[in-house]
Amino acid sequence: MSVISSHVFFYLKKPTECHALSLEEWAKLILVLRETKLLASFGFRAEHQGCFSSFPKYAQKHIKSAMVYADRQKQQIKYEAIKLEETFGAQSIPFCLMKGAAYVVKNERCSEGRLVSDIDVLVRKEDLIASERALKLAMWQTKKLDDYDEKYYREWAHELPPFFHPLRGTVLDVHHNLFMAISDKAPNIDEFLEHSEKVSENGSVFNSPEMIMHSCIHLFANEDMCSASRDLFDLFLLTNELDEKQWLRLIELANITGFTLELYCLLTCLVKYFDVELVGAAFYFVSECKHKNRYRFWSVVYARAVLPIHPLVTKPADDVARFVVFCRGHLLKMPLSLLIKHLAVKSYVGLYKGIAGKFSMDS
Amino acid sequence: MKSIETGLYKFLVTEQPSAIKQNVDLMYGDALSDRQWDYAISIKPSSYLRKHFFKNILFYSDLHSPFKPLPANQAYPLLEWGMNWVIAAHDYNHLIIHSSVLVKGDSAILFPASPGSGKSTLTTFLGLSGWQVFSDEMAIIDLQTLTVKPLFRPACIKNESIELVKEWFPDAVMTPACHDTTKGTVAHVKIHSWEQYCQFSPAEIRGVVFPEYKSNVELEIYTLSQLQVFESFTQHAFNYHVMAEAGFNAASNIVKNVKAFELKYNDLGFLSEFLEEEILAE
Repeated sequence: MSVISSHVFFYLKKPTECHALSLEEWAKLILVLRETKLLASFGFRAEHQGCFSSFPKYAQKHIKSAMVYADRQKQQIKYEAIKLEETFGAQSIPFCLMKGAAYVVKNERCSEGRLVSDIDVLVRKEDLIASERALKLAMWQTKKLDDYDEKYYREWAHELPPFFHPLRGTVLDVHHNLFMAISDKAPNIDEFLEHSEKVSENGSVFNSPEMIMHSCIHLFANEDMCSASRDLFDLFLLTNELDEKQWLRLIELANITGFTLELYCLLTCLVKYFDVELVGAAFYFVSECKHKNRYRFWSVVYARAVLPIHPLVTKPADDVARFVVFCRGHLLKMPLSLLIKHLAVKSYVGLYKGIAGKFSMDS
Repeated sequence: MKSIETGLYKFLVTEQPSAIKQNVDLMYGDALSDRQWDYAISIKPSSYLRKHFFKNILFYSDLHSPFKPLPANQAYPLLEWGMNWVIAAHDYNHLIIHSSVLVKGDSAILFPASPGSGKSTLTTFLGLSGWQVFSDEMAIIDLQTLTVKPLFRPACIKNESIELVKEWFPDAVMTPACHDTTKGTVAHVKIHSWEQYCQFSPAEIRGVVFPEYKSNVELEIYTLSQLQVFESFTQHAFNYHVMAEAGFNAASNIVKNVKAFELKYNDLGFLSEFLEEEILAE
């Protein structure tokens, strides 16, 4: 087995290097890329580098199919953005598309082949109730949550319980901040919204440094690493486009919001896995941070946690890293007293499902 | 590790209960190929309790299970349905319609699914009486040539049809009946040998037929409009919602060149004659 987890990033960066793979290795690489939600992105990158047609027919067939699926999703996201403009526009509620939906609307390179599981939208906290009403008028619904989850979203989180559209099957997350409201890490949202650009009458997306900072927080201050490889690849492509002025703003933003550790982890991962050469402000930022033990420790942990998750490539140490990240992510989000209660509730449910099977709590 | 060759798609089975090996061999044992597998699947218990107390099993497409667990004795039907799911959820290079496909000469007739229509019984009967069965479950349509491609899969017959098929074709190769599934009692019938399958080639779609078995009607025929056929394609396609423009173009171009009928019947012999005379002759 010559597909190694860090090689997956290597092949993503340079699809041309896949020429020596045997079909069995292709089959395994495709399984890992599909699981990591990167199969279509890999295909588009190979097309750009002009090597897609030199891949074996076997690989082309599987990758092409994933690209068709991703294209269709992209089309759907564009349509949803128009519908959201109608819905929020009717009430004059300004909204900001984030993450996957923003990449699509802004036509970023990383939107090619990127799978989007839900649409993330940010509204001002004072518009939250009006937004909820506007969405419900436009047929969006919410799933019935148990009291605990309802309280989690309403009182502690930075978002509303997810909406879904019964006819189109789309899932929508409405945020009012970028990080858990109950934590002391939630940034001043104006810092982001003041640096955004309009994409429709009421809709906007963050400028590149703000967009990258948000995705960086989302990746490195989160407890869940199941889309981490995909998010890291997004950030590789996004940071690739930054000019020196934007790098300066990104670092300034990390300092203002207090997420310098997260930015440091991002940059070290990009250097390690994508051979990114840091210059200027980014180089100095990393040089300064790397003397701090805490920063070095977490960058080592995250370097493992972001690796693709699949039995074909995962090593036990990766799982340990992800467990450590799981703990850190939760600790960042909530005060300790609340966290203990939260984990007690969630681990009871998890333990029950672990023993009885994942469908055991379905009614 | 064993693999299952279905002609267009090859499955690597990473884990399966030993009890289904016999059925797999019976249905696919002669299909040998040394090409690369396409999808990794497995059937295994999902948890400790399930394994030792409830005797439940799950189908996995690589790491994920699309269905709820079933009793261990339904492993073989679960494997077949699981493979259908994997194809429908992963192949967006073809337009895939939930339909059985019968072929004579170079011409194919599609029988889009409606449960209880007797479609599988009809497929099995015609398949064992000289027609080629490209699939009992899915029409795999090439987006460029608009031809339908052959699959090497058994037909899945249900309830009373099992005894009927045994009566009509005492030599038919069939898995033991599996009781109490969501579709009732089911059995899988091997229609063609691998050797026969290898002679099949993609066929032009000439007809679309919506059959309905009616015990008191010998043969009633209704002609359908292009629009009705198009509508049924979009309803019955597994992946039409993903194929977007390519799917629309394929479906609308096929519809322009087919004869389409709704048939009520109680005699499969008459039905076969009608299909040959009305759709295939020319």
